[in-house]
Amino acid sequence: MTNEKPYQVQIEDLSLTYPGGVEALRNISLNIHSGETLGVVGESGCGKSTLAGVLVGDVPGARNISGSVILRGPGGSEEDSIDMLTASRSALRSVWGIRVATVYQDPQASLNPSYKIGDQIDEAVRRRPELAPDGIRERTLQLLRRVRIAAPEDTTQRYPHQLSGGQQQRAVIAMALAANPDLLILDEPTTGLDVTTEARILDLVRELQEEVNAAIVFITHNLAVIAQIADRVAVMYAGEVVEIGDVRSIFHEPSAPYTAGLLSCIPRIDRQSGVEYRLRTIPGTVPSPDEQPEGCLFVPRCPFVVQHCRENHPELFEVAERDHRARCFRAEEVRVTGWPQERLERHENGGPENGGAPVLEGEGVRKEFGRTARRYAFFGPIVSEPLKAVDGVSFLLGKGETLGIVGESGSGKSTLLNVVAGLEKPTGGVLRMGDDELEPMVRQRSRIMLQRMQMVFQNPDKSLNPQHTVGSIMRRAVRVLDRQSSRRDRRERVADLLTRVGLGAHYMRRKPSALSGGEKQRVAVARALAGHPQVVLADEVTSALDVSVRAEILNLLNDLQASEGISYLFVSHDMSAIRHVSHRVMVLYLGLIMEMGQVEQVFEPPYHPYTEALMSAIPAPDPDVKTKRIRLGGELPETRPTGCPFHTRCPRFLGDICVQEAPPWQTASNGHGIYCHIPLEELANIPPLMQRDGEEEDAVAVPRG
Amino acid sequence: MIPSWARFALRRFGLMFLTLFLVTLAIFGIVSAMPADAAQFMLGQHATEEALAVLRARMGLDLPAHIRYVRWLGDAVRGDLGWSPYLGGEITPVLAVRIRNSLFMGALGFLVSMPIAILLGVLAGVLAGGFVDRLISITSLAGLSLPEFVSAVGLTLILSTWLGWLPPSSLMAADAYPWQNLNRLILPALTVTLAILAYVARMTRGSVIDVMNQPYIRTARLKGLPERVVIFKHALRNALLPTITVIFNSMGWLMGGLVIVETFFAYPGVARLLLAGVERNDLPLLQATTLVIAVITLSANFMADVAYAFLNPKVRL
Repeated sequence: MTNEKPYQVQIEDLSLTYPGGVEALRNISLNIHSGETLGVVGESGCGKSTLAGVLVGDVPGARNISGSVILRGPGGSEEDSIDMLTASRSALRSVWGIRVATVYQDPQASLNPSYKIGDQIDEAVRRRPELAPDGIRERTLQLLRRVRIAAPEDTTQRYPHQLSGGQQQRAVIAMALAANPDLLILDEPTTGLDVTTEARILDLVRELQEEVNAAIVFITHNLAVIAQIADRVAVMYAGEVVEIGDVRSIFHEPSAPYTAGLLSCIPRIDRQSGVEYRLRTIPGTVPSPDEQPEGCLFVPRCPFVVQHCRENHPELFEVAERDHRARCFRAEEVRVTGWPQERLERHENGGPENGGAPVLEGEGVRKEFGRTARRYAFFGPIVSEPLKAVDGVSFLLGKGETLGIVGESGSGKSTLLNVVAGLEKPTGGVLRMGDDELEPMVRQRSRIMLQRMQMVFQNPDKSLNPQHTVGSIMRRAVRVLDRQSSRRDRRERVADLLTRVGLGAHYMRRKPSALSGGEKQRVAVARALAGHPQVVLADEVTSALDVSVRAEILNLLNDLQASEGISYLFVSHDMSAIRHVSHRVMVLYLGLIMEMGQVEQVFEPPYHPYTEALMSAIPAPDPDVKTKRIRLGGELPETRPTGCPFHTRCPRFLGDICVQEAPPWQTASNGHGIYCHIPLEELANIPPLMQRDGEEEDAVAVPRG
Repeated sequence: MIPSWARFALRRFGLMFLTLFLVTLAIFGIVSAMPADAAQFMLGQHATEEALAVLRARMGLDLPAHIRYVRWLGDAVRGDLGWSPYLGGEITPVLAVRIRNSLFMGALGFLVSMPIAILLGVLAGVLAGGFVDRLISITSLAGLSLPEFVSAVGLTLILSTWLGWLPPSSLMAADAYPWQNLNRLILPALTVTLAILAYVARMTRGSVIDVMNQPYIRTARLKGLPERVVIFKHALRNALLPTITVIFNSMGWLMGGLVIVETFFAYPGVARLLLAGVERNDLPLLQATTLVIAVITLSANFMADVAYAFLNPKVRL
């Protein structure tokens, strides 16, 4: 469909090496048409960002670059073509900001902290003053309106740190659009943003696709985002394009084993999922770029491998459809059979024991952060406005059960976990483990209590001391929890723990820096297991991990639950991970429970409007599945609104009752509660969110003052 | 609505007075804790009890400590720093002249050396890794490592003895104004700020390199802005923020250097007065000069913080 359009970018046989013989890109050839969106996807270390750098001709530190990257003139004309690899710095500068524009991952870092937003966009607008007949600032305001910023005049007067992440990214996009570029590069533009913010930025990109005729290169590690946004997809592995084609054929008939593997290891929110299903994984890791095997690069991880693959390097072969090509000798077979079924085992995870006493119980847990200030700097009365981070949350956690806790950042989910862990002092409520009441702070808790509850953190890079070996990190954990153990005992115990998380005793001598992200997180899990805990608190443990690694860790957590009966409090903003591991789910908003129930109850109607919006924000990893757009207006309020805390952003706002009265806790069915004024029957009649190629019905909330 | 930097300044100002109060307590405390008091120091070990008692009564030393403290503080606030046996008169007028001299020399030094330091630092930072950078880095490291008495000798040797450009001493008439003898000031001013110059140059280099690697610099470049605009508009404003703090904070450091430099060049500044106070066991003089130096240092730090808050929109309460 887009192929009739002219080329905008032609990449021929592009290879790039970093010092030390590290091959970051290998023989890449691809074309990007004007007006199309090419999605580039792959795990970290596959060369995606290097490719983004090459497209603008700016790769600091690159050693050998060969091939060509031709950027054609406006509308794909041959006249003003420029080779980004050989062009001089001044030639590049004349192209930058006029014909090519980029948007990077972290909008806060991409904006200069000491200039106002307006001035920074003005600067980009001034590159093409002919587009601003009514004056530079007027064009800046137009651009801000175009990226749907609610108060453009006000925004121009602000500094970057005074805007939310979503607004910052909008401002950066406005800056990129300033000169009507022919090529727009979006490099992980939504990574690191909240799910609801991500959804709104993706909406914006989709709207812009209609409006601009630029070639858009959208780089991300998130397959679901790609499915919803790209026309064509290029899958990268170890610096190569391993598969390229129309988004539908890539997602429905993946023909390179890597693509097939990636697609099968995402927990699907749009399909049956849950703890009894095991996620498929890709064994092994991305080869480090300095390894240069002779045959296909995917051989060590590929279930389709034959002798031929080891000796010969595959080309990009045509698959069934036109323009769908895959780098695999057995592409046709992969296309038909898919990633091997036999890997899809069922877990022997029995789930929580029925009728047993809870292992962990929270009753009315509260945490207020004192925000006090003098009214006039240093004098005047003390004004106190405590921030209720967690406001009277009660929960039960059974043996062998996983309670998923979900919400946007600022919803109080991590604070709740920190209070349970004893890292923050609660301002109210009681925590019990079995029959024993827990002391509020971790220092006051007995060794036995510490053994029974352990925590795993989000970022293993930060939670493992880089100066120590895995062995000494682990031995320390064992020693702290069991003082009596002998040196020999501890050694054996560490070896045993490492084996249980699938690593093996030989990892003891390594330092964290020599481990991959998944291995590090396994070590973090093993450390938490040191004292035979009953409860493990998991704080966003999969958020920093790549797709295939995330699947491994989720499987590991499930395995350990099945074999040792561990209970988890699993905090995540990732609804699909929550759906996959949880037996029960708690949805938090501004420190209050909006909805709580069994996982199927929460993920099916009737749902709380907030749950509905959260689910709607998640892109489905299938281009044919359209999720109904329910978008939350505005930002998370700083102080809790009266009545229903959610009323300022609720897409199903009823009227005065929501503003004035706190909603009732409505019990939908056994153990399923919803904190909302809307009658349950009405909530139950809400049609399902995911539709396969259905009509889209948008309900966009208008923020109310 | 008061701007946030002004609120910050107000609060910081209050804190400065709290610190100053603690400093006065410390100064007074140390002097009072000495086994012999001012009267004993003045009259010597062999003074008779009667003579001591008379002098103590005259100086108010027979009063209880807290009353003496309040009196001393009250007088100091009103500008009366007491009577010095060494000077044989009121301290305040002499000290005022000395402070003027020292501040003038310090200001001259800063005025000359800070632009040089920033220039060198920016040059090294922008050309990081190249020959110019290495030259600047090594030279500044050497400058930083040299103690003042070595660099004083070195500079005098080069600029005065060998080249004969500048007089080797800063001695001048007691009633002369320092700006009438500018050529006598350059050597000490250069010496006392040499280490600070090197230090500021190195700090500037580090922060320029750091800022040049920030994503927003890449954003600015990819907007197609000329490198000159990228460096001068986008990088320097952020890179110089920490440098400004460093410059203001090193004014405290300057005081330490002054003791050596003023002695070496025989310059009539406040640090030499301090030294005289120490040598002659002149406790009132010692108290007064220490207090004044503390006030200067604290004000410099206060200005550093306020300047930083004013320039950096991110510093909020």
